[in-house]
Amino acid sequence: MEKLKRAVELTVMNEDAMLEKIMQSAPKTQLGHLSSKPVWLKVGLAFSLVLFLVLARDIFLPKENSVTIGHVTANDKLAYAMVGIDINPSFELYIDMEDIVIDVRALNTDAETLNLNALIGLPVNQAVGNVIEMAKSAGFLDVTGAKLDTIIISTVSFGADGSRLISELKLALLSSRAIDRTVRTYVIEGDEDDFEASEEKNLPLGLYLINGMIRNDGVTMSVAEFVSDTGNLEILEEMAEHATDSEMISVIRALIDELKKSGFDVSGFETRLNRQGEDLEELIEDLKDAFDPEDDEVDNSIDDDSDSGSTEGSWSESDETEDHEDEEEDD
Amino acid sequence: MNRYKEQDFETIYHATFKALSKHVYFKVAQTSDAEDIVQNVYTNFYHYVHKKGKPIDNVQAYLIQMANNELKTYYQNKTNEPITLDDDLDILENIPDESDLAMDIIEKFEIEAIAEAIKKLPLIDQKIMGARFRFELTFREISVQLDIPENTVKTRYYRALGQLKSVLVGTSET
Repeated sequence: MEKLKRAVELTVMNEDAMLEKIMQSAPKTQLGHLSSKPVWLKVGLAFSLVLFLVLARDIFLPKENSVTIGHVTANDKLAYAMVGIDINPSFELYIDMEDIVIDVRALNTDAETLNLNALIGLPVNQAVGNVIEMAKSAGFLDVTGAKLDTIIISTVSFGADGSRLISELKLALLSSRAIDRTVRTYVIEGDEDDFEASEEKNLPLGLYLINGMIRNDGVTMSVAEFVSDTGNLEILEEMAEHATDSEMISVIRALIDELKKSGFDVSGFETRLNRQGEDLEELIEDLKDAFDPEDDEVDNSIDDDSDSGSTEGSWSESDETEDHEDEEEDD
Repeated sequence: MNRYKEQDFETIYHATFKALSKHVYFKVAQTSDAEDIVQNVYTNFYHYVHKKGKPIDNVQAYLIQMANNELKTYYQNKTNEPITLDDDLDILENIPDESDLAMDIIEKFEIEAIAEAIKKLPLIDQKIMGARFRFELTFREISVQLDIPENTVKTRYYRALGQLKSVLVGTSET
């Protein structure tokens, strides 16, 4: 059986043959591979290998070998993806394969005023929510609701599949209570070329991507400037990643469960969730509103007259009727 | 945290190769694809460790992560071909006894000739031989990894031995 075993080792995942191929295709200034050889041999072999690589690179080197997996951050962390957040302060969150933030970078002086290091070690969905909370607390987002703020979340994956990350981000933004009706968010995906180009231009990825969507005669617009044009906004809507119905429903269910655990009567929300044609985005906003009992804009009413007698979402029985009447007037 | 900049890449390679290969081997249909993926992982690792000289906490876990990354790309670019069996081989009969004889005959040939004969086996049988001899798995473990009945694994294995013997004998006679 020994010969058969040896033959299989030669045929299947041949350790030595594969090492030889790796050493041929890897950069040739060497680790320990030549360390035990005399200097003249090292030089000779190194020269031959370099010559060989130069001549044969295009023929023999598989294209995949040029793919670099991961990105080394300024703090020497190996990241598999970057999530850019452009509010007015702009940040970059670098994450590992488990979607944990391993490094952060402030891209402007506004961003430097925030304690970004607190985000390291957090799951990216939580970190994004925290960043938005921080920006709100620091006054970078309007908390009065007098104006609509826009946040651009941009992503790039370095050799990894970014679809799961985007899905997580969409869910995080949908469920984040820091994001209400006064804030609109857009998730856009860039590739590694976009990332490199944005670095070269010294621009946050999000700004680079949105400015690439339009002809701006070389003048880079801020997020606020960009979205002030309805035409630009339409393009952004078109280009951004949107949550699917099933993603929205999962967020709605989670919010309803959370409210229910807090003792909130959620029957009105449940009815709306099960109703055909319900505006799910609006339902999410209403659910988020319900978490803040002081917010008079909570709208958990059901438009359908037949449901008007049903139990509406409320924190206390005594306030329910009065609050609801106010809400209808507001509408 | 260790710095591998000064360490021998070959040492890391040999220390981790089997675990990484096994991790990839059963996740792709063809052995050649598994080899390409493992090679890419080590080439990129070499590039990263050597060029950047960056510290890595757990090399094996890092390599597995890189392999998972490569596998994702592989699945994106390629239809994940399930392992298909061309016939129903659930009956073992007296094949084990015959296989002892086949094994004795196979062992009389040169390793290189046996290796060439293995390449002529159906892909699924090559896979089973690899699992059995390269990764030293039991029939039960192979059946779990390949998601096929254990009896089928055994039958295919014994029949593959018979085929190997036939190919080798046939080649030597011509």
